[in-house]
Amino acid sequence: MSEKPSDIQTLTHISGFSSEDEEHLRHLGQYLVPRLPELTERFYGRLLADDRTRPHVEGRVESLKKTHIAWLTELFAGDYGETFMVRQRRIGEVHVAVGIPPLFVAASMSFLRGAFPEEIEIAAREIGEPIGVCTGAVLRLLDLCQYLIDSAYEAERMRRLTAATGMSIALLENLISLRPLRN
Amino acid sequence: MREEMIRSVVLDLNNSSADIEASAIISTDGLVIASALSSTMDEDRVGAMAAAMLSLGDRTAAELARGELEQVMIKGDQGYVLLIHAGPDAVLSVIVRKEGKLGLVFLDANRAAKAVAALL
Repeated sequence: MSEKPSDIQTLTHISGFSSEDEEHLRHLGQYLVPRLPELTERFYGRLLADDRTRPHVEGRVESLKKTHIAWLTELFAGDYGETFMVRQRRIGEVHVAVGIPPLFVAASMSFLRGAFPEEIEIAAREIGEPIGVCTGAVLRLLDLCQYLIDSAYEAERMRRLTAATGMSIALLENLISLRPLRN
Repeated sequence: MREEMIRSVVLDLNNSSADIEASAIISTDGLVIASALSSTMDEDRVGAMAAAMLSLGDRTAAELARGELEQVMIKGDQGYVLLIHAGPDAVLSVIVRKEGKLGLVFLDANRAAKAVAALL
């Protein structure tokens, strides 16, 4: 009997994230990585201009920008194995630890999905690759990262709830899956 | 076989006192092991909530330096719910009528919890 595929395997199977995508991302990296600091500046400009996000970043913007650029750079390093996955999950855990809500990760990914296509168009032309294919590769990678980060968020929040209440993960899952009360 | 014996403990508990309306043995994950609940009670909800209350009770007793949790008692204007550990992996939940003699109920419930713990 074949083993049940992992959640990541199912995600990448349905999204189509492939070794070809990995190759495109490595090529794109040559042209995109130098552009990442400017993208990060724009992103943190948005965060500082928003009343909800500003308190989470002001006073340590420069160190956060460095971390953000390092993360973005890794996206184009071409290594998407277990180590990469573990690092994305760790990002989720750290976000929970410092009290950053999932909304901010979603907003960050949304910013990148909006900002990257223009950069990809320029980069793809430079390296002679199809713009749509390159854009698809980047978007699929961002989806994978968001899934890993969100999953880690969820797991870390459940772990903290377990620690605070003494309830097992299994009990919490049973509580969550209770049928809604009929009015 | 073991399940029947545990259910027998639950039924005996219910029959031991007119003050006990219903009872159940629930795993610490919130799944019902054996029950004698009324048909209006949702077994899944009763199980999950009872396990949750006892877990919180354990944690609260520890946090507030009250020692090992002995029981959790919920008092409503229509009666009581009593929750007791039945060994490390199960919870006894006892639903008691408003006028119930709690001293006797506690005795019977503790005996039943010990009997179930020995079976598990």
